[in-house]
Amino acid sequence: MKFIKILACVFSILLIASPISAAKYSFSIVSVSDTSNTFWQGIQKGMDAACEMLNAWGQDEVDCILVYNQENGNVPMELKTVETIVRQGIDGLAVHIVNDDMFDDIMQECIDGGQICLATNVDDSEGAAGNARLSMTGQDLFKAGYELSKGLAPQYPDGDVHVLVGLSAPGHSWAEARKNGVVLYLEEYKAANPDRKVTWDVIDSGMDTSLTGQRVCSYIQGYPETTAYFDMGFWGAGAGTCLRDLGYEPGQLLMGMFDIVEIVLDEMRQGYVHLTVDQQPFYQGFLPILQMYFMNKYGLSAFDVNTGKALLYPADIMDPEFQKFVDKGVRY
Amino acid sequence: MKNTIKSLLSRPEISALVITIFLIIVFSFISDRFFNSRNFMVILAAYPEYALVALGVTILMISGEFDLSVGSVFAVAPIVTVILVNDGYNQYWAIILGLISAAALGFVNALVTLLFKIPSFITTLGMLFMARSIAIGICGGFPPSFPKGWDTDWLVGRMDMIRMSLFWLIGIALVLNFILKKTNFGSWIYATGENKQAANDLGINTFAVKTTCFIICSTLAGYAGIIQSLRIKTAITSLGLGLELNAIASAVVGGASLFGGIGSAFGALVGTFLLAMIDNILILTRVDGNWFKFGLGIMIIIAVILNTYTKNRADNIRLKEDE
Repeated sequence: MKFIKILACVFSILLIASPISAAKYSFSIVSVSDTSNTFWQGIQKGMDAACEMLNAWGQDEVDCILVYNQENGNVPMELKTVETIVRQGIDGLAVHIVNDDMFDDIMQECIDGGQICLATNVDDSEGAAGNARLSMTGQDLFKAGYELSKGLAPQYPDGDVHVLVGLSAPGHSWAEARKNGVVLYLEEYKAANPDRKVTWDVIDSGMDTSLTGQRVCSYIQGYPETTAYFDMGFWGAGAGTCLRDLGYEPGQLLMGMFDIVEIVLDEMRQGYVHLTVDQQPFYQGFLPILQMYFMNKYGLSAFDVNTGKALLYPADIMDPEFQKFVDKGVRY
Repeated sequence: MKNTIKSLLSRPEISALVITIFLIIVFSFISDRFFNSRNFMVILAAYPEYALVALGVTILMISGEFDLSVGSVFAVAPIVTVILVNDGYNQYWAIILGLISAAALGFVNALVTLLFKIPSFITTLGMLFMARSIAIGICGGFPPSFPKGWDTDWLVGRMDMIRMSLFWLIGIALVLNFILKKTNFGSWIYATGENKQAANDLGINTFAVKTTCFIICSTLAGYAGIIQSLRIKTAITSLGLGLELNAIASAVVGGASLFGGIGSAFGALVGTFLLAMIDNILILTRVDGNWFKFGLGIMIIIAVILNTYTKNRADNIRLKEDE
């Protein structure tokens, strides 16, 4: 009994001490990733910057929160969070729509209820035709995969080409879409080069830097004829260490991937990553907040933003200005 | 001879070793790219990191407890270490403090589990989330830059085909094996896991035994995280994600019992190697990405079935009176 009383006191203190939001507008971004996915820190940075800027403007108080998933990649869990937020009522919500069907009803319910619901980072593969979200801020994943594959192709040496595609998360729409883009270009490349043997394999490369590195190197040592490796995230950069262990010189295996986290940049400087796609996560956190605010305040409309199929080559990252922005967390 | 075979194969770690050797032969036939030094070099590169975690989990399982937080602790220790090095701390002190942070989390697991008498599964499940948050929170969400020019050869340097971390693993495994098999404390661990009440009645301080095992488990997980971070030269907050299931599977494949009282350091090493081999052969046989996890799961089940079958056959070997 005494223990229960103490517990009750502790909870009461916590509740009283919790800052009760007096914000006029409350905005949320909901992710399917958990907090350990460093890419989402860039989105968090953008969201925090937007909120800070709007609060500094002084017109209204704005409160922003990025709600991470408890379990990385658990889509039903993310859906539950979205449903809870929508049904509680919110001034604006941006959702990571990682499944073409699961979010259809709740986003429609959000819009029908007069609330603002947007998509960020990942969209329904049918875009506005597939989901009622008012806008999408992010990368066209399929196009990004296609551009990545196309961007690395000029570096293929003469002769036969064999490519390894690392599907980081089988079944996850973001990974599948990127992979499909990569593979589509490979198919076009094959058709355009009938005198060369162009082949590829798709493996489950995983979402852990060390594990991905191990799987890639296991494959590469078994199939040394491999020309290039594409990762659907940044984890492929973990292969740099074991490639050096295997005696691979820079450029001996071409690698293309996504995002510009530190390990990717390090491997680019060492010559083991040759191309990466910057989807500018800062924008993906910043712009949805601005949209939601001005839609609430002035009744303006939502707008789509393609935050990038920005391809970065090693020469692009050597600029010290670039590193400055990476250190600040605004290029990530 | 029959007695020797029976006694050897009845030990779960030995039957796991037999299965491992058997599968090496089978895999060599399945893929001609499997049995060569370069492939084993790739397998052994990350092996010490996973084996150390499995070693700690095995010891804790022998004592009758679980730790699901090892994957998260795996991330905390290197982040603490790297932050301290970046702040100018001597690297040795930074590593020691990183290990202390891991040990502290193990200590908290022990206290909560044993004082409040709740299942360690639950305590460490909570710690899994908390420790992951700690790893992210202490670096403000953005992983710390890996220090340039840091001399880490003494821990992870390459010696031809293998890394120093393998020697550290072997050394630690030998010490822990000695403790388990040759010391009173080791006997207490087995006794506590097999029958805690009986162990208490015999005067064994099971609280102290289990607390020590929790600390050993977390410290080894932290150390493993540090050496992985040093090897791949990054300290990101997602290190070790999902590692806990892999570690428990390695421990069980290596002969540790889910109910406590059974297991060995050697078994942990064998179990980890077997799982690493399975992962490797699935890659070499180019199993489609969508079916990879299915293949991994079914291979693990087959390995444990074979292991159990071997042990049961050995147990059923009848000896003549004069053997």
